Amino acid sequence: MIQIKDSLVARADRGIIRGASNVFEAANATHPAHDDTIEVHGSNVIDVVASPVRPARRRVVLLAAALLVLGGIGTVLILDRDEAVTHVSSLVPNGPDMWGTFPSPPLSSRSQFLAVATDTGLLVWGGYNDTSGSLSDGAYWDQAAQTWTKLPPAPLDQTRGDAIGVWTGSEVVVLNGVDGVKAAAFDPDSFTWRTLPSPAHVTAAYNASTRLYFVDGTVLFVHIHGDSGTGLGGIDMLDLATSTWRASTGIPSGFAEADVRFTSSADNLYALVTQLPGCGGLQPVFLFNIDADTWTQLATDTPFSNWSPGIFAWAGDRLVMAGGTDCATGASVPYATALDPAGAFSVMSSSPLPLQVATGGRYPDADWNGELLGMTLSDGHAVTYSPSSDFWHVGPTRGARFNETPTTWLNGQLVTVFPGLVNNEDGGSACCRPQDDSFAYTPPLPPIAADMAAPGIATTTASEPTADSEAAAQLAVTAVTAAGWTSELREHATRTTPDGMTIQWTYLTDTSNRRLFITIAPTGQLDSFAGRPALQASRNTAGDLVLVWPDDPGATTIAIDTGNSTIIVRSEAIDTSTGTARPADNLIALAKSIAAADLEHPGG
Amino acid sequence: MTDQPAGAPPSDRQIFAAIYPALRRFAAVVGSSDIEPDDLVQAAVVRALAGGALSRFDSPEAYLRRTIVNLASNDRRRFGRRRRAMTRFTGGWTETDTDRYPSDLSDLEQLPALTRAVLYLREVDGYGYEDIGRMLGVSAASARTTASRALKALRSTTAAKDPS
Repeated sequence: MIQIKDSLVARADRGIIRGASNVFEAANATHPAHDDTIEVHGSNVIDVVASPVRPARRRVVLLAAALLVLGGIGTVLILDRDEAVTHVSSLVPNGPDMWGTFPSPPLSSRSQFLAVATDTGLLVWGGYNDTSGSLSDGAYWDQAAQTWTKLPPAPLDQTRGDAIGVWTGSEVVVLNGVDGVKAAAFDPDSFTWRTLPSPAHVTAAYNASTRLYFVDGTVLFVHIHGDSGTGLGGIDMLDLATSTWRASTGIPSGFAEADVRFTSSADNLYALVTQLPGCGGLQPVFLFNIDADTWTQLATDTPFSNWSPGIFAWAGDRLVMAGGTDCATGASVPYATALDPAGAFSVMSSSPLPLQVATGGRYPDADWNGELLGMTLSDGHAVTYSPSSDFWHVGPTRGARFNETPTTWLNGQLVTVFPGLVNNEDGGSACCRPQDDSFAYTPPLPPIAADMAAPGIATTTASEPTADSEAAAQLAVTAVTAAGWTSELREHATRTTPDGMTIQWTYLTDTSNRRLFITIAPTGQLDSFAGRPALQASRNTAGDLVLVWPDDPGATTIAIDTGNSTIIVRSEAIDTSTGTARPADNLIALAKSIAAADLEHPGG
Repeated sequence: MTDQPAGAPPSDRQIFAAIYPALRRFAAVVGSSDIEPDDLVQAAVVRALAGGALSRFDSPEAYLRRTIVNLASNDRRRFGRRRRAMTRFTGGWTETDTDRYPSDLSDLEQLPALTRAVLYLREVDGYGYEDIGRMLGVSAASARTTASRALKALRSTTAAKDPS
C-alpha cells in the first residue's frame, strides 16, 4: 500500500504551479471581464457580483470574433470549445479583446492621482478622496513580481494630492504644489526618492493645467494655461545630468487666447493650436526645438474645418488626430488624419467612435506602446489604433461611464487604475466617484503576415483548420505544456505552399508576450528549405541539424527532420523592441519532444 | 488589495491563499492527467464566486473540494474525445502512457475522480471516513466502501503485473 500512497503523493505534485494569487485573480476576473452590463461598485467585485457563471465558451466566441475581424488571412479559430476552458480561458485572466481585473494598489481609492508607467511597472501617487482630502501616499506595481509595494514618503508638497510625472528611462520625475512647486524623482530599482530643485518661474503643478514630458533627455514642464487662463504659460526645462532648470524664452504669439494641446515623441514636443472661442480659423501644428528654444510651424491647418479632435497623440513616426466634435454644430465627427514630421497630412480611416476619452483633461489623450495607440473612452470602451495598418479596433465597454481615468500601456495591456465613475448617473454630485477596483484591457493580436506565419515557406494559401491540423495542434500544445511553458493556442490550419506541399501549422502565444509557430511538414523537406535564400544550416553540439533564418530580429527559428516529418519551430517577440525569442536550444528540445511521438506528417 | 483593518474578517483572497496549497494537491490527484491542477482549482473558484463571496461558506475548502471532484468527473467524460483523437493521431502514444510516476499511476488514472479523492484524503491526508464523507458530500459508509473497493482493485492489478 506504500506504493499506492507514493503514487498519490507523486501525482499531487504534478503540473505547473501558478500560485494562489494568480489562480484567484484569474477566477475573479471571469465575472467583471465578461459581463457587459455590470455596474462597477465601490467595494471589491467579489463581494458584490452575484451573476451566473459565464460559460467559458463565450470567451472563445469573443476570441474567435476578434480574430475573424482582424485576421485578414482567412483563418478561423477552431479551438474545441470545451477544451478552451482549460487550455485558453483559464490560463489567461483576461484574454484578447477583453477587460479583466487588474490588482488595485494597496491604497485607498482616489481620483486626480498620478499614474506613470515605467519599463518595469506602474507608479501611482497622490490624489484625493472624499474623506481625508489630499493624499500623499503611493505604490509601485512590479510587473515581474506581479506585486504592489507602498512607496516611501515622497519629498513633495504634502498638501496637494495632484501631481504630474514622466518616466525618463531610469526615474519617474514628479512635480506638485501650487504656491511653490516641488520636484522629486523616484527610482524603481533602488526604491528611493531623491529631491530635485524646484523650477523658478511657475506657480502651479497639477495635471489639470500643466504637463510633464521627457524629450531628448530633458524634462519639459509645460504650463498649459497662462495668466489669462488660456494659451501657453511657458516651458521650464530640467537637465537631469546637472539637475538644473532653465526657462524657455519664446512663445509663438498665436498661442495666446488659444486652446493648445501637446504631445511628445522621444525627440520633440508638438503643439496643436485651436482658436478660441469655438475652433474656427486655422489650426496650426508647431514643433518645439529644445536646444534652440524655438518653435517651428509644422503645418498651417488641419484638413478639416471647425474641428476639435478627440485625440492628439504621437504614434511612432507621425502625429495622429482623430474623432472629437465639430465646433460649429457640436456634432461628433469621425475625422482622422496623420501628420508626418515633414508636415504632410494624410487622411486615415475614420474613427469608429467620437473618441471622447475618459481623461477629464487631466491625462494624455492616448498612450503609444510602439505598436498601438490605446485609449479608454468615457463610455467605457477600450479603443486601439494601429497607424501602420490604419486600423481602428473598438474593444468591449466596461459597462460604466468613466471620467478622470488615466490609461497606460503596461506589458501589452491597457491598464486603468481606480477609474472614476461618472457620478451623476447614480445621484451623486461630484464628477467622478473613484473606484476600488482596477482593470486591464488586452487588445487583440495584430494580423499575422503570411511570411511570419510560415517561416521559410514564402507563401502559403488556403488556411483552413482540418482534423489533421487539430491533431497537430493538440500534439504541439501537449509538447509545449510538457516543456513547462505556459501557452495559449490561438489558431491552427492546414496550409499549402506554392509548390503543392501541405503543412500543418499551429500558432500559440505565451505570457511573456511571445508567439510560437510550429509547422509540421512532410519529411525530407530540409533540403528544400535549405535551398532557399538566406537560410543557414549547421549542426549544434548535440549533432542536430539546425536550420536558422538569420537577420530576423526578435525571432529564432529552427527546423529538424525526424525521418517521418520535418518540424519547424519559430519563437518571436510580439514586441521586438522589448521582447526576446526563446533560445534555439529550447526550440530544438521542443521539436524533439514532438518528434518523440514518432508521427508521420499528418495528412501527408 | 486595500489594507485590511485590524480585526476585520479575512478577505476572500486571504481565505483562498490559506487553502490553496491543499486544494491544488487535491486537484492534481483528482483531475485526469490532461488537466492542469490549477485550471481545475480556478474553475472551482469561478463557480464558488458566482454565488457570492467565499466567506459565505462554513467551509470554503470543503465546498471547493466537492466542486473539484464534480468538475473532474465531468472533464473525464469531456476529455475522452480528445484522448481518442490523440491516440489515433499518434499511433497509440499519449501523454498519459508515459510512466512518470513511481508505481501504479496508470492504475490510479483508471479510477473515477471521486474514488481518487477518497483515497487521497484517506491515504495521504489521513482523514477519517466521517470527515471525508462530510468533505465530499457522501456518507461515511460510502466513503469507506469506495476506498475499500479501490484498494482491493489496485492490489489485484499490482499483483497481476508483478506476480513475485
